[in-house]
Amino acid sequence: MSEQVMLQLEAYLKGELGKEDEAWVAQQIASQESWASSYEIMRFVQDQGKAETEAFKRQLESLHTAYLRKHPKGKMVRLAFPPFRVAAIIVLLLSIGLGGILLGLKGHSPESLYAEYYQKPDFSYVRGTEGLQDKTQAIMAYEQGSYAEALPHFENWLRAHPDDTEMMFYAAVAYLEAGAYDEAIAHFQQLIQRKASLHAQQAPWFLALTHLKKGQTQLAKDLLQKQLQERAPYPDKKKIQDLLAALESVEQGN
Amino acid sequence: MPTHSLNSSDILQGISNRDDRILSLLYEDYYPMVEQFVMRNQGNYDDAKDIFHEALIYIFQKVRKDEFSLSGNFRPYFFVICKNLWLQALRKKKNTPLEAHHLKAGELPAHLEGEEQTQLERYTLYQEYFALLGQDCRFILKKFLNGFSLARIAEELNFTAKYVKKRKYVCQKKLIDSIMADPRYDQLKITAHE
Repeated sequence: MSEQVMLQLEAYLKGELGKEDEAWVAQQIASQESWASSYEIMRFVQDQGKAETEAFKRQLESLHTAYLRKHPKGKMVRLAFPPFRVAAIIVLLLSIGLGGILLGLKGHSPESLYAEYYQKPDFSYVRGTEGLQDKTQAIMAYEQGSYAEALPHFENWLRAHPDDTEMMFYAAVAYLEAGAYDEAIAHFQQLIQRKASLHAQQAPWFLALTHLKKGQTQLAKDLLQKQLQERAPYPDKKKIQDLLAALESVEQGN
Repeated sequence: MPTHSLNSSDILQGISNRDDRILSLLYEDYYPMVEQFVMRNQGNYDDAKDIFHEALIYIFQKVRKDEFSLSGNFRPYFFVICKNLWLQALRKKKNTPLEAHHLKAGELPAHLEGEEQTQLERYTLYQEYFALLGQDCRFILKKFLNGFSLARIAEELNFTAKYVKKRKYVCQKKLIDSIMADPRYDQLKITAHE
């Protein structure tokens, strides 16, 4: 398939051709298998890239989080247990003791609450303007989930642009995703100091979740309670209150 | 309100409009069964979520392109799509020629009709190769198809617009060539008058 043909198909897909050219391309698609196949594949690619499909994917992720929040015990109840798994679980439960059993059955632990409430922030609204090699590579690697690859680029970028709070925020999330919790905490804390930034408002929530991930429940609770004092905390008061209530119930379970 | 009180066109309309209420109802009513099915067939919770989302995205794209009409019940149709997507994912994962009867179907219905099945297989084949493109290719194609100009993409990547234009062509060509070189493509290929 030549570049010329691809450009024609692209223009056809985008509705940029005049009537005559459009009819000609439609005729090629209808009569030639190679045109028909390439057209179909390019149309598929177009769907993959469309902003509305991307938005739909994000919406489904949010719905999934909401569903898990509403059915926190679902995962435990619906498990199918072959006999060998039952035996393995009995051994495991005996080894962690009754407190652990009760905690597991409730489906609540700092780790499970973290999984329920944490959602990786999307990078889609980052816009670049000038000389962005490190920034672009950081974004691309972050989007791919290659955090070890992304982090040196984030750091390079932040060394040159220490006031870029947007990149500071995503660097912190990348550290969190990479399991480098102390670095994530340091970045979120630094961000909280930059009060004028939008990301400074998001940082306490993610900082609390990072503490939760580390099992530092009290620190997480303190941060969440402090957030509730804010006029418009991130993500919203109800979600913060729900998480606080769930943490209380974990403590009572203990 | 359960989904069985809605007809197929209400559901399709809801998916097309990204209606939170309809999508939440689908989650409540359908997700547990899909999760159970995937878990019973060597999958985990993440697989179940991926398959459920993939099925909705597949339908969303088809409805948006006006390629979709359904006179019958939506529920069995949706479950068959999930089942097929999981079967294809398993084949890829295990690298074995699994067939539908190898799966523990549970409450899920049997199969899709001919052309619908072919379209779904095409979709998963394309998707497989799209995911295999290098990250720069996916980045360029996605940005371009989201309406970014080549000049803007070039600026973000610190390349020239001419290079990005060339790269875009190479990426598209690579995708098309790899799909067409796949042995499965011969069974799925588009005929000119389709």
